[in-house]
Order: sequence, then structure tokens, then C-alpha cells
Amino acid sequence: MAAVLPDWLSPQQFSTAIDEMASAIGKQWVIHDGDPKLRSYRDSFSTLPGDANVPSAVVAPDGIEDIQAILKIANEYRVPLWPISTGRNFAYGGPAPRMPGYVVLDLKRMNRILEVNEEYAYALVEPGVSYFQLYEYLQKNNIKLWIDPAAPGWGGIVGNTLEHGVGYTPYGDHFMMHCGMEVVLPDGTLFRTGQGSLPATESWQVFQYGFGPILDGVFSQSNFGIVTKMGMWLMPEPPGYMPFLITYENEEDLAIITEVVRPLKVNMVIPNGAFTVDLLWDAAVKVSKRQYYSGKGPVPDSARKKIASDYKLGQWNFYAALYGPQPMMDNTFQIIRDTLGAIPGAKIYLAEDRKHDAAFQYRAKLMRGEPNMTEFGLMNWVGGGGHINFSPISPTTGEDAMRQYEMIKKRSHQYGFDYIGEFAVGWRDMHHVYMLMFDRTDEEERQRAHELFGVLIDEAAAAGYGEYRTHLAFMDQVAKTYSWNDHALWKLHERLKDAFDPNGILAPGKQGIWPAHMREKHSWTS
Amino acid sequence: MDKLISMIGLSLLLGSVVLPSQAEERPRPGKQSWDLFCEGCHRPDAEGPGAVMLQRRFGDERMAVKGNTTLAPEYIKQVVRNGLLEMAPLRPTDITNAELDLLIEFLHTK
Repeated sequence: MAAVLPDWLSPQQFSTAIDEMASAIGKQWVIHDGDPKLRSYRDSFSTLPGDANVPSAVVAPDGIEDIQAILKIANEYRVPLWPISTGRNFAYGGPAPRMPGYVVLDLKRMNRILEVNEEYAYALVEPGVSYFQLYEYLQKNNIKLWIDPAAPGWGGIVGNTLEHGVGYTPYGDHFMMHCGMEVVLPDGTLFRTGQGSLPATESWQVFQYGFGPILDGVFSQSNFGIVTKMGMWLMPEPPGYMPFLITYENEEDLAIITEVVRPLKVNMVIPNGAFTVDLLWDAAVKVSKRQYYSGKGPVPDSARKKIASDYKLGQWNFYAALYGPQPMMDNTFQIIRDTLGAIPGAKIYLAEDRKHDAAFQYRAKLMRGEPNMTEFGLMNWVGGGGHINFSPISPTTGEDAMRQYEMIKKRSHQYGFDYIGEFAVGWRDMHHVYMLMFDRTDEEERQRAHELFGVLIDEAAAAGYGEYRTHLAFMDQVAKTYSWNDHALWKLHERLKDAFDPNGILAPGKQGIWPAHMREKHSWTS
Repeated sequence: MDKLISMIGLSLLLGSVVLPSQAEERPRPGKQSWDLFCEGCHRPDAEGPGAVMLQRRFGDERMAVKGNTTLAPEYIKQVVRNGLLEMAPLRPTDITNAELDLLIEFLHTK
């Protein structure tokens, strides 16, 4: 089957460009011409049809010179490139490009761990390094540093950080913990941020700011450059660790839990990401929906109560951890008991109480920086593999938490889906992650999920909640909601796009930022 | 004092480990590919979501893929390259064809 191509490229131009790229980096690292391996670059889990967003080709460079050679050819022929690192941005698009016909620039071969410094507790890595890979490297070399993995450990450090991903240890705000980037611009210019621009520096990974404007953020969630190296601060292994779970009996307890969590987080009593997890999110790691309910639509309250009872779970389940010397943890835990533990109906569990609980175990591992894949078990809830995450941000208040929960649950049930969600509290804000699970083999259900997601974006925005990240299919819609002062921010993004990438070759449409030559067709800003 | 240093983890400051650039061994041995891409989901216990699903659908004897010699190499290749329901495919940059052969050899050892 002939590949879908961008409409401004003739088959001859495309073929010539791909041949030149193959000559530059080796033909074994270029996939095209209907090669079945292209299918491994699709998004396996999205609300779009199975063959949506399949690339026309893949090029897999191994180094800066390869990337620069590819960019030169792409500029000459105006070939749209879609960079990926490990390609595991699942629920948000995976390795698939924004539009069918783009050429995926697969950076997975660049997976070198360039430096690990135990004294200053950092690593310098290439984009293809996964959490599993860095973790195993630290273990093998007996280095007493912790990583902070995303829940699925096969994801990548650079990609997750650039997408503003969060983790579970005290280093859970990944972008905050990065230090220094090396970037290639679309015209091939290579530069380093921060102290990295001082040739004799030894401070690239210990000081984030350098001298002059801080540009690192410009290369996150954007299409302005390709990050080829990144420094990441790692947490020194503490002398003690105490994960805990507190279960709560009632749905409306979410309000008081959130009110109590806020001061505990803002005052750093709880040092890591604090997660208030809905019953089904926790249960779905252990059971399938059909074990409790064989009907259509969301599981009824009677089944929810049975699940909670069978697995000693609450309607909400609060996870966090303490770190440090035992006397310090003991003192702090008394505060936890007196606050979160004092909410009526609260039951506190420590690690020894949940030894055989897969959900507790995987969270306990994540909170101590041990990557795993157990959360993927959520997909076994309905089967079929479909899932997409809706992730609005709000202040950490009980009122906001309940408002979001009720709004999303109501719509979710109206469309026939279970509410499966969690609220993650970082330094000040609350990330609400609603995982929309659906059977991807059921065409009608897939389309219904797609429609629901679009409704949620607009309703959340009207209530003041914007997504921090979204799936490829909804990038324009979410970008449109950031509309203050007549879309001034996105108009600025477009000016930056034109300056960094005048030919518009890099990830067109990423985050709703379109290059000049595609703006008439796709952009809403003018 | 020793107790104090050890207690608050300051011993880290007394030594320094700086490891230089490390390239992976390629082609990657089967065990290493298993660790990086398979074991997370296919570890044969309650924390392996792939194993749990296989167990629910086909019973205890089909739960583990490691050591299951009834899985034909061609079938494994098909699933790895195309994915299957909840399993996403592995790309040629994750694992080359030669490495996939080594992985299958590893999977077929008990």
C-alpha cells in the first residue's frame, strides 16, 4: 500500500529525500515504502482508527552528525519530521506522528548514559535512555542514587521530562529536576543551555540557569528543536523509607482529604508526589471488570462496594511516603496520623500490611524510584487496549477536587464509561488524571470515547481547568482553550516557530503550533 | 560521629563516583532485552499485567512466556512487531531482528 504523503510533497520528491537520508545515515536505519515495520510506529491505544497517524517513513539517526544531515535534506525538500525518544508517550500518542505521512525521527538508538556523578547526584543521558536502562545501570554499578520513573518504566527520561511528566519520589517534577540541555535547531545549529555554553565548565549539570535568558523551557512540549542530551538530578538513596496507604470510605471524603493534603504538601511534611487514587484505578490492577459486572456501562455502586470490601480498599486511597532517618520518619508519621489519619473512616496501612497487594507494591516501588510496568494492568479492566488520559490542572482545594470529580464522572457515566482517576498533588497544584478506558476492538465504543474526550476539554476549560498535556488528536482543541488576550500566547509560539524553523519541518502541529506554510489550513489563531 | 554520618546519609559526600560514557553491548543479549522490554509486563506474578491477563484468559500453564517452548518463534516475532491488544509493538530501534532471535532463544530456555 502506498504511503500517505504530506500534500505538498510529490512521490518523486519524497522518494528522493528518503534516498538521500538513507545515503547519509545508512539504509538499514531508514524504513519506508510500505515496510510492515512502519506499523510499529502507530499509536496502539488511541481513540483514533487503527491506521490513523501511520508515518510515511522512519529515520533513526545515531548522533548529532546524522541528525544534522537529515535536517539538511528535510529542509531542502520540506519533509516534516516527527522526533520521538523512546516512543512510549502512550495515552498521549505513543510513537505516532501528529499527522499521517510525517517521517518519524526515531532517537532510540541514541541511548548512551554519558555520565553519572554520585557526588553531585546527577546523570547526563541521551534521548533513547529508558528508566529501566538507567535503573539497571545504577544497580549494576552499585551507585546509591534513585531515579524518578514514570509509572511505566519502559518510558524515557528525556521524552518524559520534555512532556512535563511527573513521578512519585520527592524528585517527581521532572522538568524542575532537569539540569542542562544540548539542542539541535531545525537549521542544524548545535548549542547547549545554561553553564553548558562555557567551554571549560564543570557546572553544566549542577546549575540550571547559566547567564542570560533561560531557554530550556522553549524546547519542552514544543517543535522548536531536538534535545540530544539532558542532565537529570537524581535523589541520593535515603537512610530510611516508609510508604503508606490510607483508605477512605466515602466518595465525598475527597474534599477533606484534599484540604488536609494541601498544607502537608506546601509545608513539605509529605516530601513526594501525594496521590489520592479512586477505587477502580487501584482495583483494576488486580481484577477485570467482568469479574464483578457483566452489564453495559459503568459498574454499579453495589459492585464498587463489593470490590472495596474484597480488596480492603476505600472509595479513595491515599498514597505517599516518608524518607530519612527512622526517628525523623516516626515523628512525621505522627503528623500524618493526626491529620490524614484522623479523617473519619480512615484506615492506615504500611508495607507489611499489604505484602501481597500488587497495587500497593508497584506504588511503593515507584515512590522509591524502582521502575516497573504494573500500572499497565489497568488496561486489563475492560481489555482491548484502549486508553487515553485527560489531565486537567487546578489549585489543591477540596472544592476544586470535588467539582472536577463530579463533572468528569457525570460525563463519563453519561457516555457509558467508568470513572477511573487519581489526583496527584505536587508543589502547589493538583494534576487530575482521568484514564478513559475503552475496548479498542469495538468501533462504536472507540468513537464514543473520542467524542467524550472532546466534550471534557471544553467543559473543563469553561470551569477554569486546562490540560497540562494531551493526546495528538486533541492538541489543537486544548491549545485553543489557552485563549487569554485573543490567543496571544499561541500567536507568540507561532512567531517563535517561524524564527526557529522557517521551513516548518519539525513536528508541525505539535501542541497546536503550526508552521507558516500549514497555518492557513490548520491554525485558528488568525 | 560515624553513626551520625551514616544515619543521615552524609557518607555520600565522602566519596565520588563519576562514570564516563557507556555504550550498550550490541547486539543486545536475550536476557538484557527481556529485562528492558518484556519482564515488566510478563513477570509471572500478580505484578506482571501481561502475565495476569494470559492467566485469566488461558489458565496458569499459559501465564508465563519465559520458558514456554510451545510459543513458535514466528508467532513471537509477529506479536513483538505488531503488538496484540494491550501489548504495544516493539520497534526495530528497540530490538533488531538479530536481537529478537536472541530474545526468542532466551524465552525458550527453561
